[in-house]
Amino acid sequence: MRALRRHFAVAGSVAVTAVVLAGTGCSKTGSSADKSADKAAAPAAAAKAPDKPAEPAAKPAEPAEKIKLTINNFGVFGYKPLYEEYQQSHPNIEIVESVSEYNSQHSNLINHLASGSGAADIEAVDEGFMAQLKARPEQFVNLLDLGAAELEKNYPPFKWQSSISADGKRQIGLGTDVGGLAMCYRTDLFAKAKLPTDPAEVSALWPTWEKYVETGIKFKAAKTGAAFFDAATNLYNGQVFQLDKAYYEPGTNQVIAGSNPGVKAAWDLTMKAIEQGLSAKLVAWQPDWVTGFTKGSFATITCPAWMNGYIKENAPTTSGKWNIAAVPNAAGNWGGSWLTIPAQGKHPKEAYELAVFLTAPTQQIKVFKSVGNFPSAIPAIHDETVAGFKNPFFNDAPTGKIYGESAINLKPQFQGEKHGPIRKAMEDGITRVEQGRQKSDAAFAQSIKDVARAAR
Amino acid sequence: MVETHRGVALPGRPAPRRLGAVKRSLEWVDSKLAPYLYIAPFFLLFIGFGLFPILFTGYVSLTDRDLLSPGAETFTGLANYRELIADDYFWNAVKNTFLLMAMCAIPQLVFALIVAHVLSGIVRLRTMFRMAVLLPNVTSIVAVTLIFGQIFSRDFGVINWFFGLFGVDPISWQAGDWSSRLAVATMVVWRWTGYNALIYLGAMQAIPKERFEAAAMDGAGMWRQLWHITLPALRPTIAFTALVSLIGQMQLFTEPLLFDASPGSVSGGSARQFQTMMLFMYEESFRLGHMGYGAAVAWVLIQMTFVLAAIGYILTRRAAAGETK
Repeated sequence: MRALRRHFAVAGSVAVTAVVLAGTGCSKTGSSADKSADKAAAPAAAAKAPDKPAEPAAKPAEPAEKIKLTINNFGVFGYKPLYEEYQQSHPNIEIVESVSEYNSQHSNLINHLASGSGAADIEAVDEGFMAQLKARPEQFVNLLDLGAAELEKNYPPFKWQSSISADGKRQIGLGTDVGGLAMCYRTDLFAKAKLPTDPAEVSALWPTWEKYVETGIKFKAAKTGAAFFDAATNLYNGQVFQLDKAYYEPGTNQVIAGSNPGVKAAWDLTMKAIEQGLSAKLVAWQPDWVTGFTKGSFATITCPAWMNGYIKENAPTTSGKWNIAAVPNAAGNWGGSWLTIPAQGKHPKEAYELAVFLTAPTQQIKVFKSVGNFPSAIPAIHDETVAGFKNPFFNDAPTGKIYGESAINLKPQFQGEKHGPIRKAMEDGITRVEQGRQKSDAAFAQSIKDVARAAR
Repeated sequence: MVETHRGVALPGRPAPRRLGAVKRSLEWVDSKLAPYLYIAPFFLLFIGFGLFPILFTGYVSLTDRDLLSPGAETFTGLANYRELIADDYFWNAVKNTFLLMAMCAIPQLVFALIVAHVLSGIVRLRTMFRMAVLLPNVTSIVAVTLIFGQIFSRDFGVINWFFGLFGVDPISWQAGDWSSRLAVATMVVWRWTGYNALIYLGAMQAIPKERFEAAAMDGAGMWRQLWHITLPALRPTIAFTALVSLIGQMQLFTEPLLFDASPGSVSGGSARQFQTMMLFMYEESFRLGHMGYGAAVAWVLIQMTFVLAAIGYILTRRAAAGETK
């Protein structure tokens, strides 16, 4: 469902992961889950019960005359029933939703921001475009001015920091969902290669990425006919997600891709895996890659939550052959969205109230139940329905727990404006090596040149 | 226009002095102003949606302007153009555009001619066949590209499967320089051959039948007739279609964009092996936000198209002149 569109979601885009001022990374998360659930749900509860005059949150939001709030999103956000709920408690608000495809959603939004009019009151933004948009925070309402600071404790640090401006003073988005990151693997191929198949044992095979590549070398030696992973870029990105800093010196506009030892280490390990012949040399979202799921071209793939639906939809015959283990270092994220309020809108206050309602943990749980988008709010991640969820297509893998933990564990990482194009330049270099066009050193040198060009 | 003035105004002249002022001014409106009013809608639309954007793009190309900070641009004169001339990736895109132009336009016109010639010989179900050759042209370009992407895929594509029957190793079409361009050119040729064939077919039917009959009596076969009668008669039409497809090729965009389906790619392959000028412009303006630089690419593209159109125009005139001799 969502996954298919979601794939373009990420496909069309560029970036991944989180963003953050490394210095301001906050760490009060886990323990206060229940309390924060109550707090965040407060506006929602107020919304549901407008007749209770004691509720303070609902009152100021209720406009004196009828107004129309527009919301633009993409793919499947699953908000329809929530609008009705909200309109019942806010009789003077009419919500008009417009749903488009991932790429047009973002290119339309950018065009509307560039021309100064035409954007909706609430615009959904995917992680692939967030780094670019938050570099222009003046284009959006600063949600901290409207009281969003109290919502911070609801979110994993990376999610909150991903949509905050470089100076940490402007928050432009409220998180809807996250991708998290896990490792999907084929139990049939693992059994053939005499590797363990139980998720706990498989996770124990690769506490680090080095161990992951070592496991791959063992797998390769067993000659199953399949490659160990689909594309080297996924191995590379999985490592880069987890770095404290990746392509930018935190909080600045200074690009450090070429001098960052973390990036080079990720590159080198990726090159080792290519040399060892572990890659199926596919390019994600190309026809071969899609068919590869069904044909068993590769044994493992880094797998965000929305990828589960994608695999189920594109390779229905592989049901029961998959399972899901933790990703090395057990942290990561790929995909996920925010609701933003463009500054050009006429009803920022009302839009904010609605966005708070839609992204409140209670609502995130409802959305998870109806369309499967994985929640980004910690109270929702810890909710029984989410944390206890098992996916039958993947041998009842405890996906709720795996994805929740990977999102909460992920360290915030600062991403500058050109993070997406920079990442693409690095990926192209890896693909050139995979395709045999260049050797590692030449490819790295050219990628770093392309990075400088993208960031100029 | 000049003709219209004469035609309308002259008959009114014999009795101008007896006309009242109102009538005279009405006549002035009718003869002098009306023609301009008739053509005004086109020119207004052209100025609003054609000329203004072109000129404004010209202005933007002289500035350093960010996509998301409109109005905050700084005037930099010809800096963008100087940078452009020294930019390897720009020249790579120019090279790819012209290579693809040759790889698309020539086969497309040759095939179109053959198809038209065969079609003109078909008597039964002729409408059906004529509609059929136009089908590729009305098919959604996105669908076409996706299907061809599958046909040209490395592991499970039809073409590699076919070559595999003869023991040829799978070709990674998208990874290679020439293989990727060939794949893109195939999509374009497939799409436009039928369209050009119909234009040729129309022109062929204007050729007097007697010429073919006389040739047939002299023993000329179908292909000899094509070479000695049809081709010379079609010269102006061929020049026209060549010009139109060359200009169309300058703007080649969707096929190379969608052929590279990897996440957010606008670079036309991992080594820009099939990035065209349009794709390069799109990358600079909308992916990297360099509106000024992108506008400079657009302006160079416009100028190249003008030059190409001028050359084509002269050639077409020559061809037409050759025809009337």
